[in-house]
Amino acid sequence: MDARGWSRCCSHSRMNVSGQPGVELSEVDGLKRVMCVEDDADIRLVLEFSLARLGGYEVCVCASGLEALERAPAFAPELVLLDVMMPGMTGPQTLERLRELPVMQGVPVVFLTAKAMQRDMEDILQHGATGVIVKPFDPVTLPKDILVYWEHGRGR
Amino acid sequence: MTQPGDDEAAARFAAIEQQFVAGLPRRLQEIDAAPDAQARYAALHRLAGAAGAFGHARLGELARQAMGTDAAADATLQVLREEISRLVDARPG
Repeated sequence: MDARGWSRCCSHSRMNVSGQPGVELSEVDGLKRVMCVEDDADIRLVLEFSLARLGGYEVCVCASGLEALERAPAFAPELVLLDVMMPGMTGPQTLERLRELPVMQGVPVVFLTAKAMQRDMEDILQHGATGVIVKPFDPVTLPKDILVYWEHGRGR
Repeated sequence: MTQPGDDEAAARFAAIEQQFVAGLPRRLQEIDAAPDAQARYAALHRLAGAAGAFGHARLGELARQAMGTDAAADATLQVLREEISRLVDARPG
């Protein structure tokens, strides 16, 4: 997607992501704080751009599972997007540790994974995730896509 | 209808995208220098995921196809190199 292509997308996204012109998703739907855990620096930038700039969420971006464990208590995420394949602590291992934190009880966690690993989805979900978003994700629709998981997963 | 701030968002995304393209040779170096098949797979996996998020579908698909360990994957890696060169050469400025 070049800059002109993005510009075309973005001209619509401000209207369509929330369904209401000029109104951000966080103002409409109640979801405020989203934590993203992703080891790839470029993907972290896209996640932050998509969720903070387009979605209007308060976003905490972490480069590793360990960083997520350190920052989760203070940030108190309402939804977590968690990469599956990370060096050191993997996504499932991070989820297991996050669930030990009081602040993470009942918080939906959605795994981010590549298309090549779709066959492993059932196995991934058995680790207690609310859902799976397949990479590559669309940065324009992601702010709205995550609401489905938040609505279905919160409080469980 | 253009919304206020759209130009700023487009410029910001374009800057992030250019940063991604500028980093492609480093990613290729990481793939070539991978000490084992697992490290090479991980580097290709990261490239596949990132390329798609920036709308570079062909690059992402090539990275995905190159994740294998057979001769076809090696051949795809050569095509991936050419695609990276093309994208880097096409950078503005």
